[in-house]
Amino acid sequence: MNTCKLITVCLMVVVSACTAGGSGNRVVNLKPVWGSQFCGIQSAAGLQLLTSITTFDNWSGAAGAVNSSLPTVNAETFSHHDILVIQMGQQPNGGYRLSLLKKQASINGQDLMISVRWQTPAPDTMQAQVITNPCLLLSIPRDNNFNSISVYDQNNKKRFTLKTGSE
Amino acid sequence: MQPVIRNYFREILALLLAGMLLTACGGGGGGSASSVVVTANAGNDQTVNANATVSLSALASSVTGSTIQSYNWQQLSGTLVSLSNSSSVTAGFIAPVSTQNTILRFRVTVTAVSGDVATDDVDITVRRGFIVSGTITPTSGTRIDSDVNDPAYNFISNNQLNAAQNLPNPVTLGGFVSTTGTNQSGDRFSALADPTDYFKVQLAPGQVISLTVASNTADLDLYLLSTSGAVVNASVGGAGVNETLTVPTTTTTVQDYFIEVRAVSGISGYILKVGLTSMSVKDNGYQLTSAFVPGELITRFVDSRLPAGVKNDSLSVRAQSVGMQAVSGAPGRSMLMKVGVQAQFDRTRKKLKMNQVSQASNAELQHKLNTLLALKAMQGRYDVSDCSLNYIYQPLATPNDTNYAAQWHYPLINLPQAWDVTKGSASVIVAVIDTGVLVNHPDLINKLVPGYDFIRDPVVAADGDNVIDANPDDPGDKGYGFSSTFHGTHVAGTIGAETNNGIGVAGVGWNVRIMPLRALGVGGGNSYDIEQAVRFAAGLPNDSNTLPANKADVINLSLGGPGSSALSQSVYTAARNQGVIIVAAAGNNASSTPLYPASYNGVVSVSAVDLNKQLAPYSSFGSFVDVAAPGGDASKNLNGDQYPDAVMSSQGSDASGTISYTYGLKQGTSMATPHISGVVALMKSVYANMTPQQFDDALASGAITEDLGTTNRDDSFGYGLIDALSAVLHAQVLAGGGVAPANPFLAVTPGSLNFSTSGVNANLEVRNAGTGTLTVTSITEDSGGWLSITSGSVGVDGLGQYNLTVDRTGLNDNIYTATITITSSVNTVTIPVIMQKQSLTSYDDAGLQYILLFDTNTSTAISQVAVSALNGSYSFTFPAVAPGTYQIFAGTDINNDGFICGTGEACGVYPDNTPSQLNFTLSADLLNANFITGFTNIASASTLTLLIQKQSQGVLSLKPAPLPK
Repeated sequence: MNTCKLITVCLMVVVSACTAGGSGNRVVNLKPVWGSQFCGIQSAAGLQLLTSITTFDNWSGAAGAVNSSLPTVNAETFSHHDILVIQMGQQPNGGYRLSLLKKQASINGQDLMISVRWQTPAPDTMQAQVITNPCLLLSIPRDNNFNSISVYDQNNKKRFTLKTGSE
Repeated sequence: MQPVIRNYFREILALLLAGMLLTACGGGGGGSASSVVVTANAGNDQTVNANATVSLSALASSVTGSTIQSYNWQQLSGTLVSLSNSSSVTAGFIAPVSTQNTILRFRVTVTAVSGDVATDDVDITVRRGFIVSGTITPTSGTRIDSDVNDPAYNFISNNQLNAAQNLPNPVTLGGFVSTTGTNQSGDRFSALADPTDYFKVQLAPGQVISLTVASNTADLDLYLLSTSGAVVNASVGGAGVNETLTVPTTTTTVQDYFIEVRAVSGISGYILKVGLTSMSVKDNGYQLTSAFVPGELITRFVDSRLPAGVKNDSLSVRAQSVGMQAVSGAPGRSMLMKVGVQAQFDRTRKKLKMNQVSQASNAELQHKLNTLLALKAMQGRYDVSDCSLNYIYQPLATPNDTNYAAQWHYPLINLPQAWDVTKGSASVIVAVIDTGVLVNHPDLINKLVPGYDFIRDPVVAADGDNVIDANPDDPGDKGYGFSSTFHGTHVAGTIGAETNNGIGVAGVGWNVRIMPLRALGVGGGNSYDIEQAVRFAAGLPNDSNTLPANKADVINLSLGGPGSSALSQSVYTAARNQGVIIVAAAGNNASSTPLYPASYNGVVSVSAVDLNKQLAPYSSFGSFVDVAAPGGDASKNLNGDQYPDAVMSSQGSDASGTISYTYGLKQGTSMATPHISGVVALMKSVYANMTPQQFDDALASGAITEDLGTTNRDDSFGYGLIDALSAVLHAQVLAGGGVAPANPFLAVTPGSLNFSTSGVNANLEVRNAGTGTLTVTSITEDSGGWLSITSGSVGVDGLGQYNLTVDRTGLNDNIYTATITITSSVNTVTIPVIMQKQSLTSYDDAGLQYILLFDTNTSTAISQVAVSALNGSYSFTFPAVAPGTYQIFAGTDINNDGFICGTGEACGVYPDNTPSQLNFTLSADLLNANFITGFTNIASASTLTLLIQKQSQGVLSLKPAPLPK
């Protein structure tokens, strides 16, 4: 390889090495905490980041009004993690569901990118005619440098973004 | 005139001749010296009746030699009468009424033109007037308030507790109270008020006290007080409201009580009754013992009439403006407000300008009394359009399932009332085609018949095998999700959860059973699997190659999708042709887009309503909707309980990784549909042969629904909200071939008995008040010996008349109670009995009776006497009454308005008020004109207001009264 190309490659390696620690495609492990088709009464579609047992209790107070099987969460959970609530919003039947598509989320720039399976009724299927409010609760480590969270569905369509303000 | 003798012989002869000539010419009274002879003839003597119209005629008088110039009649002797036409040939007069036969002599003087005069006398004998007399007896137990407004009546004030008037039991009393003086000259209470009357009486538990208020505009309240004067019960309705209360049954013995009749506003007579038992109580909604939440009032203000500072602001400011605390609600709609106690209630009283409130016997009663009186004050306010108590309602049939109280959707469709008719039959089967059922759920495990799993796709089935099989257990449908819906378990629970088992929830169908069929799994289901389940349920050949032991009566499909086909329609048609009633959800799209299978012909399509019977915000609507049922709206909590207004049923959870059996809320037309399926199952329990067409016809006729929205049918509610009670009753009619079924029912009259102080005998009428047959199996009493029952005219079925006898021998003075129990093959009736042993004699008294003799020909009262009671009765005499037709009225004038028989006053009439005899004809003495007076008698002329004549000194005149109104 000629010298010019070698210097270029070395430089690229050095540049890559220099940028790896601040931003770029880091990976964050996600853990599903809970999910249900009956989260809350009229949960608005969107994201909520629960950062303490208090905020979790406030959320579960509303969700628990129609659901008697809420997750068991204690203060210790929030020592190093936050809980992200992804809410699909009110849906007309049982054919809507949220589930985690990828257990690892990547940080792009300062945006945590989470992939979920945004399930909707397949065409021409029969569905239970029950009102649902699908949600998914994910445990997210707190020590990562992102200041926004984005949720993408299985078709890479961005569904929600939440500014977290973390550094 | 005698001839004069001129000379001895010739003159004597001339006179004789003249005399002979005169004699030959007739006359006998005289004549002119020349030739006039006047003859007066007053007619023959007569005997006439008193009050008769008598005619005196001198037509037979004559004159010769002249003509009659004039007649003149005059009375010579006897009771002076007024002669009419005394200068005519015929005069007349009305025969007087007298207590003795009397002779009237009249003379007519006939005068001729010549001046000659003759007279004649005639005697008219007038028979004496007839005696009309009798005895008026007050109805048993009648008393009069000792301080009424009639000044002619004996006065004893009873306005203080320590001057309470003693009453017997039972009693019917006429009284008078007023908050102000009447300002009428001559009234006893002209200047001063008569604000309250106190009575002391012994009462048995459960006895009823009622107050009938005479004036529509006066407000009288009724209180029951203990011997210490504390309120133990009250009825405090508003102006013109009749009050009723019962003696508390917290004690089991006869007790002394005070009864207080209190004037709150106005002037009015009243009738106070004690004695009936609680079987006849009608709750007027203002009773202390009514079931309402103490301290709570539901109020709606008239926004345009609120003060400026109060109008457009919060609930709390409005509540404070009337001295109350806000609880819930908002301006523009009903608000729930709190009425406090003690200091807080003082603020309420001041804001509402209320008088002091009586002391009640305990804190809860005091709070309820405060609430009742605050209610009255609020209802009188200019700025309040409506105010009511927060009533507590109890369903008729109340299952003991733990979560039943949260199932608001059942009372909404009159299901508890329907359960009183039928609790469903275990032979009725409802197929639930859904996600399957948690077959081991504790509230379903005993309610299932064998089902099937028709899901072919193993990914969708998620049950670990890839075949359809006979296991309908719901393994969950979470797929990639975190937890499953267990939708079928919720739906099945609404239809047929084990009911009244002390756990879980109640099911609409109570005893009906569930056939669980799986056709929905992970991601939903498809038409083919669902239709195989439909075929299985209907007993039609299907992919399982099996048939159920008993086909389903109803198929519930709380599912749907947009696609449809003729082939699928044929499946539902075939199932319907098997006699199966198919019910499906209309959809949650909040649009008129049809959903299938609900929109197929022959399938009952169900929309959803919320707790207020409004269309749920998510519910589909359209021409395909047949009927509505509760589906819930979890965004609201209209009944203020701890739950959102969704449908409570059985469910499960697998969020933890293992399945747990729970109960919870869901909303949707999925939840509305099983209400219909359950009601159909109840109908099938009553009438097993009910066809799908008969059900459709019942819907279309409006017979089994509450019409909501547009009259009859509309796209939101179809034919209306299902009414479970109407539905099962309609099924009964269908079962009877269009005729209501035999429904025997034992009834006994009277419903209670009070022998008072002197009653000895009474009869009980025992009968079948319904249709069909029943038999009396026993009749017993628990008096301990003073009451005995013997058969009178009784049939082999025990129905008929029974005779009761009371024996007071050896008993101490007291009030005694007993219960007669009549048991039949259908139902049991109990009759409470009260009897009093009282040694002291206490006479009935209906007050000073004004007794009018009423001439029905002239419609005037021609005579009047006033009589006070003596030893419990009134004797009267009209000493001289002319023949004619009459009625006799007797009554009090408690309010001293000059009229008897007014509202709240005693009244009686002779003869008795029967259509065949409204008056009597007097042609001889009538000495037994006996009749009844009382405060419950309605005279035949109850619309007749009878004016009596009074003088301030209390001496009564006998002037005829004007025409009655």
